[in-house]
Amino acid sequence: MEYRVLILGDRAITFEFGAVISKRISHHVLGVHAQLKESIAQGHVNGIIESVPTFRSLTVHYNPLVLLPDEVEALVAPYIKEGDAVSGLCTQWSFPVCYSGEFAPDIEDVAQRTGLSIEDVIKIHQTDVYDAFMLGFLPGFAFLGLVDERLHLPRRAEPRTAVPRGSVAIADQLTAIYPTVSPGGWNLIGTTPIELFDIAQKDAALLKAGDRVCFRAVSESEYRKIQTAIAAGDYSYQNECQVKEVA
Amino acid sequence: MTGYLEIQSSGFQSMIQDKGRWGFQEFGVPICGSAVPHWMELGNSLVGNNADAAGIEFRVLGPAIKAVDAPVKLAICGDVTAEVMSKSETGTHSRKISSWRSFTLNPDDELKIGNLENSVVGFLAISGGVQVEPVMGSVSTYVRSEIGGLSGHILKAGDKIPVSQEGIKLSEAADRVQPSPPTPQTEPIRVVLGPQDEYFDPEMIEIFFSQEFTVSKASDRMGARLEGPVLTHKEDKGSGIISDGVVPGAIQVPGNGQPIVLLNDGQTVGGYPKIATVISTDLYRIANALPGTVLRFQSVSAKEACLIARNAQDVLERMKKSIVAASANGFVNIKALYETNLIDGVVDMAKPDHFPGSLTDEDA
Repeated sequence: MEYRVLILGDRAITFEFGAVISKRISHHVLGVHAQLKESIAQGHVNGIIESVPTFRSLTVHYNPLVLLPDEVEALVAPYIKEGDAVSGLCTQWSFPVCYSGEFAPDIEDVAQRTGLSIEDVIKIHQTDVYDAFMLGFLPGFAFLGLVDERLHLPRRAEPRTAVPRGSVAIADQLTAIYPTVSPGGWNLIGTTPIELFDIAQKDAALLKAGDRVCFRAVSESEYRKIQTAIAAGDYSYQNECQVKEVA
Repeated sequence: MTGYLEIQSSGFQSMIQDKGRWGFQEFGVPICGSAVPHWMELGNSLVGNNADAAGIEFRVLGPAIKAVDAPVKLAICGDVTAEVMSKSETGTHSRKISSWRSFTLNPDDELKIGNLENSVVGFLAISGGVQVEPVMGSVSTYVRSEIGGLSGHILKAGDKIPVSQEGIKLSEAADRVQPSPPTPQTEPIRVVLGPQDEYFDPEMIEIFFSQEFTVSKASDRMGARLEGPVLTHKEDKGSGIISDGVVPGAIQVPGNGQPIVLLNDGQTVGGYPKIATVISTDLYRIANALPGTVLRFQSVSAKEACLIARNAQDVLERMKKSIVAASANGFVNIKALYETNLIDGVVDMAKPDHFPGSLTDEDA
């Protein structure tokens, strides 16, 4: 696969595989990432610290005391050739979302600006299974897509200083869940009680790049019930996920 | 014997930091870690620790800390006044504490660190490090997600930091001093052009390298905002990219044309074009620049930047080796100083790669 080499100072190199957000490019990025990660874990690539997949590129962080940029490129190149041999399995999650009242502060505005009814906004958002292209912005924050064109809206003109934890949001062709309270400019259409980032778990981030996510509407009372169960440690995340073949 | 350090006052902002949290950027977890990593290593050397032991990073105004039930060896890194208050039968006594020199804080002694001069950040090394549970392999505090340190928070009065048996044992060692501490640098900040320099016309790149930028007050551990000439993006490119990976040091240029240098707590990905990236060796200077500091940038290649990093590591190792026992009167033992092969300075003029005036265009 063709790629561009982008130099990020003396600590990282980004390998860029395309100019757009697409499932095909993302699939390739994640394939290279998975294999490089495995080699790092086995100690086969001394001097390479970690790699970070994004929509269309992989950023490889290295130790400048051990490797020079040319050496990093040479080490990574073979993984790019093999990149398509990604595992055929992925984890698919189904998250409960309350799309009403205080849990959905922007949903009326979204309905108005898209010319849809609130019911249609909820229905369309729930219809698709989204790919987790990458994580970033906040620990555990996954960029999910692609969202149905009818829901495409830009970010809010005035970003909020404190988006509540668990907010389910849309912006342009993407949707996401805010794992913690944070400033943010996306349109908030619901809230999930699921904990997306919890350091008490073996893997603090619930989602990883390559996972799939769908949403299911729940009532406010069901939301409260799940929230209470999670707080008490009585909620099994296994209920929300299944392992699927990658199509 | 067990003991702890009790925070009496947090100063402006004090928090636990170590070498940082590596290996979790793919989950959006920033590296964090000390903003002055080579100071941290020197401080750890002074108190007898491994290079990467955790300590307390403080900003602007240092904390006040009391030793409870056990002694501990400490060393302050940064240009700052400090004193230790000891109580005895005859009353409270104060003694001045120099930076870059280890000292023992005995039980019930209180250390008060004052205002930093010439830097934003200082580091307090603690013998035996900080005994708190690591989160994802690091105790570095990341306030935004409330992880690391003590419950992910900035230290506050009443916080207790346990001291290890190792730390107590190290407190018995003789005090040591770094005879030639790091000095403030004034040369241009070295950067590697890109990765999105193509978003700017050559005239804008020329402005970036020829004009001065001032560090703004709106700077923190996430990033330093710079004020200077407006860096306009090419019209057909705009000010947004499809978000991609970043590193501390990446210089993002948002729509207003005023650059932001990402620092250790910065996001792992970003959606603004990055005109250049500050090299790892010079990054602490941005984190440490007082508001109002005027900066210039100078271009080096990525390969040169790696060689500069290696040279800086050699200099650091020599500085660690030059640490000597402090004589009883608190002054440097001159004989010991001459016996160590002390080499001061950051550039080695014999190697073209290490002398700024001799930079080649290779890899640029």
